[in-house]
Amino acid sequence: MIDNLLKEILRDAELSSKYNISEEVIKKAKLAPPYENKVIEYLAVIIKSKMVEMHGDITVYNKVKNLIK
Amino acid sequence: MASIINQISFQNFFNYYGPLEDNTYEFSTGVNIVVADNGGGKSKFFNGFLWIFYDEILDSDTKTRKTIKNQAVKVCSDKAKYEAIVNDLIDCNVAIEFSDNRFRYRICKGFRIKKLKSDASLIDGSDWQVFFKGLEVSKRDIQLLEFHEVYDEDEQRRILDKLIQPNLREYSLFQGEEIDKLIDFNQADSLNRAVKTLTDINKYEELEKITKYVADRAEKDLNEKVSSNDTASQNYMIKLGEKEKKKTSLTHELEKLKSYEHSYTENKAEVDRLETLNENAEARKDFDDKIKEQNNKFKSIKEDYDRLVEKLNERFFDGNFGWIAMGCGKEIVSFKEKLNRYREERILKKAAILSEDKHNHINLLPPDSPDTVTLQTMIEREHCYVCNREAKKDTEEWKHIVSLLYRKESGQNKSVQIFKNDLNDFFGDIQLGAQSYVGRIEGIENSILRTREKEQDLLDRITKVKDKIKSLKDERSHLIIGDEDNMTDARQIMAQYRGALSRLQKSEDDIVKSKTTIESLNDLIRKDEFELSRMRPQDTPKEYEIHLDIASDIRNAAQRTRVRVFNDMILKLEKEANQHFQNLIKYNELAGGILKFDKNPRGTIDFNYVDEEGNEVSGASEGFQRMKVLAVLMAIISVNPYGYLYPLLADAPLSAFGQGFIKGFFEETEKVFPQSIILIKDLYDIESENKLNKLGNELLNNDSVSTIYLNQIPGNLKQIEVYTEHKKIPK
Repeated sequence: MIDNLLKEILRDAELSSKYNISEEVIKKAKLAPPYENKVIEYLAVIIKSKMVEMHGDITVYNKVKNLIK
Repeated sequence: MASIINQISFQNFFNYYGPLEDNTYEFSTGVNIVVADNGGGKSKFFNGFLWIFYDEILDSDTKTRKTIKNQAVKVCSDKAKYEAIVNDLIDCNVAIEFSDNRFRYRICKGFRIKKLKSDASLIDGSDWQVFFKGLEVSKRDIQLLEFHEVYDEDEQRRILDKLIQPNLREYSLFQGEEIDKLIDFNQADSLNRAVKTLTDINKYEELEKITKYVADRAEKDLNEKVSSNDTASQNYMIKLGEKEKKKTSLTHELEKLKSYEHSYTENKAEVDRLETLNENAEARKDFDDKIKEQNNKFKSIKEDYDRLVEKLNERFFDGNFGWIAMGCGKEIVSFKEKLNRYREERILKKAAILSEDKHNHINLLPPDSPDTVTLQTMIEREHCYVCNREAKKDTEEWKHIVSLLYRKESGQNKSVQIFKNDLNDFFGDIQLGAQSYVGRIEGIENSILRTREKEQDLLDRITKVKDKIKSLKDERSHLIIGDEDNMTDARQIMAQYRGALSRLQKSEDDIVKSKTTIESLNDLIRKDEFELSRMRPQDTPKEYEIHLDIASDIRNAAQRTRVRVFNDMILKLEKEANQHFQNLIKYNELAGGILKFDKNPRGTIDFNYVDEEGNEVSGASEGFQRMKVLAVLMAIISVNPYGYLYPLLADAPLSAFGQGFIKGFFEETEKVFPQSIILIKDLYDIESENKLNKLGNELLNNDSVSTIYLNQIPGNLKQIEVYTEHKKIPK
């Protein structure tokens, strides 16, 4: 159910164009790793943390902040 | 995987007398129907669900929901209470079993009551002691047979919520007229609340908020990092300051937008309210006109009636049918006989006197006829009106007429020859017939009968008009909102309406302007961000920049996606709603209107019911109104990509709306709800062999209908012994 949310955001024309996300990739996109693309990982972590694990905003931020080193 | 109710059982619950196993209904996916006539236990059945979900039951006397804690004695079967002896304990339970793709769950709520007195009242709580049990929940793997108790209260609650989520229960569990309140088209927020509850559009809003938070934090972290770097140029800091100012302006503008949206919502509600009121005012005026017309009619009939009553006295002495003569018909005959006898005797006496002289003649015309005036006329006109012949002057005939004129003086009466004639009856009848009362005596009874019929007709018309006036007044009273009846002046309502409309227009304009300002500020901020990215010191950590870049892109994508998904949803909603609506009403002779959904400036949905030309349709029948609500509810569920995951439980959802609507409803329900359990009277037919009417038997043979149960009360039972029997009708 939540996977659909991820896919809908990835279907945004500007986002998919800037990060070269194909329809093929979008169809396969899931909240669970492995991720095809850094943006997908970033977005998946936000969605999973906030909407599945029900974390607070600060925890969500700290999780995504650690994705880019 | 949707939750499916497998069975529901009752023990001594209202009419459901006896142990759970005697009152168990088994259901499966698709449409499940329980058919029962009035008093057959439909609402009691539904009360089982109300108890499980809300610890309430619907009090059929007051039509209000009451907590079961105070209703236990009333809820328990009368038959069980009646049969109990002092100190007996009676169990009263409702148990539901349901399953998803992994587990089968069992939820049971119940209590026991103990009889304290031998002559205990069946409803008085003080004669009984009540012991409530806690919620009992157990579950088993669908592959296994044994249930295991669930003791953890949180787990118990989660299992109950799995059956139907608390926020969805109002859309999943309803009784009769409650459907109309599910989506109140006169309440601007009602539809939007249903859309937010039943679709995942909320998730997009939630995502928009969290991505904005993440992007703002990423920017803040980056700026802090750059600001702490000594190599940051003064220009960079100035630009950063400018950007912060714009962000502050943006925050203020967003606050203003919120206030405009709030104002829009308030004014929209006011406009909707006044539109309803205006419609009511117009409808009231229609009713007033109709009531006035009926009052005039009443006045006119009442006048006719009063006139009829006033004239009753006159009718006793009326020249045509003097009712006072009623029953005197025999007296007239008797009078006539006596008169004839008198004449006969009188003539015979005269004849006896004259009989001595055989040359004397006497005619038996009435005495002294023709009269003097007639004789004079006959002499002057030389014509005999008795035999209608000429009597020329000085002829024998003329002289005879003259002699008759002077008969008294001449003693002619004594010298005429006596002979008998039959003119007595003839002249007697003329005399009697000339009397206005006499000829019509026979018709008096008929006249009275006609008058009474007329009186009854007037009284019937008076009653009919009075009833009509009462009914119009009743209908009119439903159009009164609060004390608004005092504000009957439609112009006053219109003035308020125009004011509210103008304020609504202003808030719409404000929202549009504010959104333009926000967009423009966002553009400027993005430009500043771009410039700042170029002005950042070389040694700014790349990960901070990448972090901000991705976070900003995701935030912007989340914003655009929410708008796109919402716009797409409105289009789908309109398509689905009209499709469901047409299917729901397809067996009805009247064609319905078009359901129209539009996005308003506030970004929520406006709903209208229009005709093919786009004109708003009002005054649709109750059946169509309910079908509108059901169509929109079904559409909202249908646009949800995951469908609906809970059963629909409805008691008398379409009572008295006709077989066409019912047929459409069953066909359409199956497409939307994974399971439905419908309690209904309208498929019952006492004359039919299996107690189902034509539509009931059609549904029985329909593949989408899984089960049909029939509830019946055995005949010839005292009220205290009443209990419900049920049987599954074989397909």
